Amino acid sequence: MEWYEYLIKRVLLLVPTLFGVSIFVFFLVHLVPGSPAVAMLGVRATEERIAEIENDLGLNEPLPVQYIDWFTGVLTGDLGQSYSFNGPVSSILVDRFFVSLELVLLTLLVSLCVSIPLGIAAALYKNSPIDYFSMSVGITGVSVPTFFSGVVFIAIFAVWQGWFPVSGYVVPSEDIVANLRHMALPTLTMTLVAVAVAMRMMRSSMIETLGEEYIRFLKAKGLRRRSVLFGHALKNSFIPVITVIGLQFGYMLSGAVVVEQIFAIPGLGRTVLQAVLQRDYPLVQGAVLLLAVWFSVVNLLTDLIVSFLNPRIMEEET
Amino acid sequence: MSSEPRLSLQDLEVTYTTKHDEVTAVDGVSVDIQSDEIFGVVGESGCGKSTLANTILRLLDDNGEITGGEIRYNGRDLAEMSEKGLSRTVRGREISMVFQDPNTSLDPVYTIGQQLTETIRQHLDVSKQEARERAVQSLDDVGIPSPADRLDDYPHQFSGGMRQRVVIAIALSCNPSLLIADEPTTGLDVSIQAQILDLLKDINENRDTSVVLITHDLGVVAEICDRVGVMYAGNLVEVSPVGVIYNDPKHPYTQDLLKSIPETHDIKEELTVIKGSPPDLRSPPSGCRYHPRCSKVCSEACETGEMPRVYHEGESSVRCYIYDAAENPEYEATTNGTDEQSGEQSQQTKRGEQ
Ligand SMILES: Nc1ncnc2c1ncn2[C@@H]1O[C@H](COP(=O)(O)OP(=O)(O)OP(=O)(O)O)[C@@H](O)[C@H]1O
Ligand SMILES: [Mg+2]
Repeated sequence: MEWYEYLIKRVLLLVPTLFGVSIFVFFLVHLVPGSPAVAMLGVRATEERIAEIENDLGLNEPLPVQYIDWFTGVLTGDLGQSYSFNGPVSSILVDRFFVSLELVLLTLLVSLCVSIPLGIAAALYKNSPIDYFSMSVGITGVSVPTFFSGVVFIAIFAVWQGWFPVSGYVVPSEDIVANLRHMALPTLTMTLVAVAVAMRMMRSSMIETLGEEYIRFLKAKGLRRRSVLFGHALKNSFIPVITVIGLQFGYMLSGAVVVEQIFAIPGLGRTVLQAVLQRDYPLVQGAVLLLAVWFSVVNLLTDLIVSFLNPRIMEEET
Repeated sequence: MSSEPRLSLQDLEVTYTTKHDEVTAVDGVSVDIQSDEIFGVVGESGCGKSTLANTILRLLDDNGEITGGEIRYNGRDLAEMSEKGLSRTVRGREISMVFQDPNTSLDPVYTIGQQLTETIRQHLDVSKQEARERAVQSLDDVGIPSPADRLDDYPHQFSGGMRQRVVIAIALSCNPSLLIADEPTTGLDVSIQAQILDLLKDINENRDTSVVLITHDLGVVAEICDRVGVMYAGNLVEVSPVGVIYNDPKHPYTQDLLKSIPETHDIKEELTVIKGSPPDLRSPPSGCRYHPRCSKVCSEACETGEMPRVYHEGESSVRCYIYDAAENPEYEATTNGTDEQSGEQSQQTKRGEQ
């Protein structure tokens, strides 16, 4: 199977997946107790006022009818109007998406630059100081919650040293330097977690690969250590790491909610949280759908890269 | 014909260090591999065959170490050579290796063409184009049909037998003078096994390549080997020409081994299984390592003495007290042995005649 056939097959598979997600999220959102009208008007609103608003929003229709209404809108690119923010859901989501995307990309970039070399070094020098060092970084990374490390970073680098702003966000097109300075601490906070996972994976994968018989055969052929390690072992051991990185990449977009909250960044995670609390149905539905698309695309890209690196995989899929 | 052996192992000792103890997996192994011969190494599982094979090119597991002896090749001691020097001038160039499982010997993410040409370009100063041509030739030599078309295939696109041919092609691509094959046919079915053995024989006959063939299958040995070394618990207990191994085995272990194998078993004797099991190499028995299972213990030294030294009997060398006149009173009566000096002599003459 050629790679583009594989791509087409995978893209077609996306259609039923997203359809399923849309049904699931729609009914889940509507079955959760609590009314958007109450959220909008506050607890002291009168019964009539609530009924009136609910009627205006079309919430009295049977659920399947509401779903079909919403879904036909989605098909034409109209995700509806947000109840709690002013404006159409689609434009709100696009803005927030790019904010989060920047944070995720920066995190990924920094964490890969640290975790991959560190993981390789830890594998090559097992049980050496560098291995123990990377292990402690890893354990710290996964065990210290981001709300704690984030606050510590703010205290040290923003309040005490004054290198970076405490919180807030600047659009990159306005002032890229200010934007990056605002992003620095959130990126650092998220990187700590991301590094731990990718590094441990890189280490164990590299160790496993180095134990493979073909590594012994490569040495027996007289290949230089450098080619054995970086030509062969690295490529093989990086493949499972890509999958993990892909998962992280997909997950971080919405998983950054705590960090976005601490640093007051208007990202996707934070928006979803607000929308849920406000029972802002169209926004929640739109956001979940967007996240599902994002996750699927990242997954697809990951699989494409992996099968590109390891031709056996594509064959197995057929 | 020079009488200089191609490879000479002298008193080789290899030790694995684990958390709790040390295992001497190869102990006091001395043997000469002659030019142009196929030398078989047989023995039960765990007796140190793979360790011996891996030691020659110093490809032991990380916890394994050569703790004594020499590996003489071409006037050099491979045990003392630098890792870099070994890679540049010996591994894959002078001495090649083939491993047991062809399914795990090749890197799954590179084409076999890439894996062949990288070997060729590592050792020979040729252009990419020439390397590719040589790669096709190598595949052709080991009997891969339409080799030029298969160069860009990945290992998983070959069958097990073909994959082992590819591995052999890579090992032979720079015309080494010695090929070490560690159970190269174990994972393959019988008809493919025979083909691979034919291929090895062919290589040995048509090129100036000696072969060390490790196997636990005495049938394989009978088919293609010229001489055989029998290993037991880290020792090379007997080295004999293949005819001697089958018709007049010297070491009691070799004798018992033959009796336990159906295909080599003659009508004259019952099929028997060697009683007991091989010793734990962490604490090998005193004296001869085979004595707890041996039916021919001839003296106290077998049980409590030093490990027997190597005695030369005709064309064989044997590590057994039966061949020691001082320990075995019946020695002169039971054998037509010669003393060490002339034993050496006759071995040399035989090689000279070949
Ligand atoms: N890396 C290692 N660490 C510790 N002990 C080892 C290691 N590799 C091998 N051994 C031990 O050394 C001994 C010889 O092993 P080796 O693999 O050389 O035997 P073998 O004759 O090739 O066996 P088989 O026929 O099963 O392949 C065994 O007792 C084994 O347990
Ligand atoms: Mg073995």
